[in-house]
Amino acid sequence: MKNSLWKLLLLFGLTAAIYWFARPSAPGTPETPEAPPSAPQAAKPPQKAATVTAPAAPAPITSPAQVQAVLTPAQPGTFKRIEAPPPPPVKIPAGYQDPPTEAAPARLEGEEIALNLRNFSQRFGGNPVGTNAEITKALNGGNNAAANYLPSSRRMNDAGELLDTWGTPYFFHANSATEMEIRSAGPDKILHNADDIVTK
Amino acid sequence: MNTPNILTRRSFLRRAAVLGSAGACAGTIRDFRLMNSLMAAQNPNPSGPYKALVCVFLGGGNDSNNWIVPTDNTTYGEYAAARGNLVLPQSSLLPLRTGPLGTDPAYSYQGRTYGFHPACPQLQTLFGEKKLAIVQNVGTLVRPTTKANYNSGLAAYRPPQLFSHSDQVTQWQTSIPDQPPTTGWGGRVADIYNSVANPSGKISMNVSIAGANTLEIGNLVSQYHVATTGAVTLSGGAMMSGSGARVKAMKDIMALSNSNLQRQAYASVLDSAIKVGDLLNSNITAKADPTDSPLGGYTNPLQVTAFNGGQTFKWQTGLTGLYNPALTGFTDGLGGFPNTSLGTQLKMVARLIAANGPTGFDMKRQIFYVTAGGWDTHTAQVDGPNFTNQPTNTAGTHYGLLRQVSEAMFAFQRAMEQLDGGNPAKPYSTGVTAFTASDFSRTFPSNSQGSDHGWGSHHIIVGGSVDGGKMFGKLPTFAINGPDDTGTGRWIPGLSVDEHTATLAQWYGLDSNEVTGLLPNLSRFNTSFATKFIGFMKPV
Repeated sequence: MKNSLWKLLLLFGLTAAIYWFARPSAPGTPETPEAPPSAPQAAKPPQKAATVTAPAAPAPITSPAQVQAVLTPAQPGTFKRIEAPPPPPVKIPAGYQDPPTEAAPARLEGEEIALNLRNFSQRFGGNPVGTNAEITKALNGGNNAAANYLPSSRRMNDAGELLDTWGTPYFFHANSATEMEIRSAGPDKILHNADDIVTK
Repeated sequence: MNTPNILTRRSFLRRAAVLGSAGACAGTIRDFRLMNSLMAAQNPNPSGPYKALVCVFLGGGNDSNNWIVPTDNTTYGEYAAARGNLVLPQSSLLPLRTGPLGTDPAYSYQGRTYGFHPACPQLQTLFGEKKLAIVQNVGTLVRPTTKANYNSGLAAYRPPQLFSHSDQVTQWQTSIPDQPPTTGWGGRVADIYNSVANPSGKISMNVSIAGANTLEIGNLVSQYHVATTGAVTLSGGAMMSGSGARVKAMKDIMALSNSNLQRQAYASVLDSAIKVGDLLNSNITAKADPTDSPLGGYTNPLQVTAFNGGQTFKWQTGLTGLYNPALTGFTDGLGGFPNTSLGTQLKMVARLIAANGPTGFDMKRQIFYVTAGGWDTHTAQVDGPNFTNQPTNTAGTHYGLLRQVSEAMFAFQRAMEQLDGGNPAKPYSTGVTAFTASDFSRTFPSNSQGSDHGWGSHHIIVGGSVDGGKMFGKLPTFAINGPDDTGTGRWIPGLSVDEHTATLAQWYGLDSNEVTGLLPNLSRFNTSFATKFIGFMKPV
């Protein structure tokens, strides 16, 4: 009986210890202090995409003064960053490069339409159905939520059809309620041949 | 003080679970309701003659606008004006006649004459022999639908996901377009019929030569898949075949008593699969017949050992003398069935039917499923002067596909007639009915290279019990954006899949209550059991 009491007390102690170390933090006292909110940034004017260039390599150390400058310990609160030399540019073998083509923006647009169709399908339980004009109408707010699912770069003709980069109506091929093949006729503006751009 | 209505994670999960369970239960309850209504109906008569339905599914959407074409000058002119570069020359169409001879008068329906696509001389022959009927403009419908109904945009008038391949295939095969698919109508028929019609049947009532399909999915009956060469069984040479040592070892292991129910069930299923596969393959094995003479047009593809105590059958290509074998190009030496995908599938169906009987599979009711793909002809649909230097639009992808259907379905019908073996009751040629189905038809105007997804479609039904040599339904008005068009040459069906299915089901033996239970939307359509629904089957 006495032996069992000791075991019980030991178990209670262990439980209490585990609870003490694993207890959740009190409300309002985050375990890690949050960084102070940064000052609101002034709105910047829209800029063109910056040209990405490799950082310049640091100048080589050629004098004792430069060596001293590197070895001098940083003052409290300041850091002295030593830039590593940039890696050499990766050379892609000739046969593995994507040649810059005029189809690249069209591919991106196809991906955007496909993404929008997926969003539409998830929201409404299936893709819009019908011809290009009917599907475009549904994507362009003609749905129960009056929500717009057309890409920002949309182009439409008088018949209400969504046009590709070259001004040809897209062909929407409905395989199922959630799988739609989006076909652009490509630069030659003729559907169903080798230069078609197909997005699924 | 208003308490904000915050949806906690726990309550969200609870609600989602309840909703999910409710949704799942709804489908199950519907299936039980369907089954109960079928079970409550009068039991089907198992003592009737053998009957089988054969679904020939044309996967991808057959352009039936070029399959069965009006030939009278007025309607052909409307056809030619709208079909653009897909138009078939009027002179190339094979006229439907009131008899099998070329001198028989032209068949007229609703003031029009018609012709088959030039790739279908065999179907033309069957129509003349009154073994083939044509149903015009049939498709998936939730309820009778006019153009005004369609334009209203209400879901009550539009089957979900119109013009989408997989959805329309499913809806054709479930015949319940406005509800989530759970069973096919063939599976539901088998659920009620199998136990009473095939009490000692040795294979499943539903057999597919084309793999998994929706049509044959039932709650109680599972579809059995057979390849064009027979049942897929264990392979591995002599050790695995017949009484090979490995097979024997596996069977011995499966025969061991097992206290674990799941293991016991698995062993039972595997053992049954091996036995059925062996039985099927042994029953359909063709044996050489030294009396066969290729010069006489005889070969031996349908010889079976199990039917009627080992009686064998021969196949003769020129059975009626009205059929010109030279038209078919049957050169594979397999006795009349073309060596095409559809031909080999239907040949296997014929062999399975031939291998039926008391000493064979012992089935009184069966449903078979075969399919041919490649009908999604957005491009290369026809070949002709607008595409290459072909003189007329009588070649191309569609030509080859339709030729395949024509040859294979003709060969199958002749095989059933051969199996009759001179029996005046014609048990096989009248007991077996083949019918076509497809995702949808295609747009009437050309897309410059082919046609796109449509809706209502023409279909054929072939067999000795078909009220053949006739057309049923109504030809849509050939006007783009006309009264029968959704706006781009997609015909709004005048007849529903429900009515089509009900016609077949009534002939198959279901009574009025059973048909109603089988097709819960049927009552929405202006059709009745008393008038045999569409009416393309002869009275039972």
